[in-house]
Amino acid sequence: MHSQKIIDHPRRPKPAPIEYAGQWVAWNPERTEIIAHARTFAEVHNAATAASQPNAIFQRVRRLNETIVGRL
Amino acid sequence: MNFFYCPIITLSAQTGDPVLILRPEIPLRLIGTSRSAVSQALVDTGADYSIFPVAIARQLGIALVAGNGPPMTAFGGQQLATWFGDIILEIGSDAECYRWQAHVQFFEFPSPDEESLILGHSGFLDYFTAVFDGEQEILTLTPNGDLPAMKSSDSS
Repeated sequence: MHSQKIIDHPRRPKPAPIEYAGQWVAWNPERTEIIAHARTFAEVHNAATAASQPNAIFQRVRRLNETIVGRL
Repeated sequence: MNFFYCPIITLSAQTGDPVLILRPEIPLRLIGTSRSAVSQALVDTGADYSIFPVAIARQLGIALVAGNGPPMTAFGGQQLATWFGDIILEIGSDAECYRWQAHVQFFEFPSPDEESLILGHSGFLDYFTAVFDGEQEILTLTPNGDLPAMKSSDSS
């Protein structure tokens, strides 16, 4: 278990809210706000481009029941 | 370069309760022939190769060719047929930034909600000394002499 101090370090990004589980999201460059979300990478990339956010950070948010142990 | 592990909300495999886990996922710029994007990617010391979704190759204009060798084998024996392509990768920030060309593999995931970006040894970890600090949850990457570094002006 990690200490809250480690988790809350100001330079650590925030977790994606669970309502985006399984979706692709686009964060603003500071990773403080989700500016777009969609089912596919192409959709969210196009949405960020349309919003003039060339430096958006994309993330495919893990599904809640997803644990990675070397599976693609 | 230090990268703070990325927090992820998941369900505990034991109890089913929501838990917060921290994983070495770092922002990676992927540069294709027509577009670029920054995406979170998992640094995975257990992966022989770096593997990205085919959907990203399509969106960024990366030409792919089929491999002639055997498929990749994932944990549990899952067989993965992959494609190959050349891509420019970049990590860091304005203060310290590294860009290189890599020959990586692409996998057509069955569904977009299964897609992942994996940074394995070939194309990534071979070029860095990596320290995974499990106490502070920070990944430190130091480039080594094998990194085929490019200048940022070498491409878009």
